[in-house]
Amino acid sequence: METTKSLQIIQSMMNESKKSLVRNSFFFILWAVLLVPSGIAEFLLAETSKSWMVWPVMGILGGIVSMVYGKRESERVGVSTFSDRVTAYTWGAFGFGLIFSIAISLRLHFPPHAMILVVAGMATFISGGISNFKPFVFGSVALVVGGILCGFVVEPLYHSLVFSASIFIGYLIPGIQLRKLENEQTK
Amino acid sequence: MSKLNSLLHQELRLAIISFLVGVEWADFKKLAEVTGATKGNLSVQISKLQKAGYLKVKKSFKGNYPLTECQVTELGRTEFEAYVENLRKMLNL
Repeated sequence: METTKSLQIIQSMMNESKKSLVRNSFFFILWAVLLVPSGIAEFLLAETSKSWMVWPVMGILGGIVSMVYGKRESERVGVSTFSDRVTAYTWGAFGFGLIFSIAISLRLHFPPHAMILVVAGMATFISGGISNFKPFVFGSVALVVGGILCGFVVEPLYHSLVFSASIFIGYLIPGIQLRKLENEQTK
Repeated sequence: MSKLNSLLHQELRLAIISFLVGVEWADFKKLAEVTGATKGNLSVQISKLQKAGYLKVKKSFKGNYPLTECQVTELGRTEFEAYVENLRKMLNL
């Protein structure tokens, strides 16, 4: 084999291995579709004592769908990269942060939206950095700003609305943009 | 002048290892897709790389279908890096 041919093979295979194949946009769109209406529903049901019920229902539903999709997607692509592993660990850590935020909020009798938004913002920021996808970096800023508004500016009654707006900007818009990019890459 | 590793200096084996150094692991189907090789040839070349200790191969079943996952070993990575270095020297890069 010619040495120049060797070089071509190495370059082409290494480029192939850099392609992101997991369709991560699904997770962002799924959670946005579940969480945006949940926040609005919580606000509309605020006068009832059961308004918080929307969260565990949506959380369990989203968790199951995410796990099933994640497993299938991993089998479909047949490859795992370093960035896939970092992404998985980041969102695993987010899961712990989410549970801790809810637990501490219940203990302090303060709505959990602020802490959840900040923790989600951090995970989204890392995801955006790993995948070099700027819309997620901007989206993470929207999530953190939403968290700051809930924590220091807005009345607790309206936290769920700020939450929905932040998720819309931080998850749904970049998620749709990523979906378009993934569709173009797989054409 | 440095000599190129003869085990790696073969199109398909070089393609396999070049792809695997950039990922954590890949299954047989994926390797066949990216290299464009036939299943038989791919299987033979993977075995050669495994015997040399360049690849770790895990065989299991997904439902009723066999699943083969390949991962490059530390030795495989070191040998690949040495191959690239020698190639650079030969091409004056």
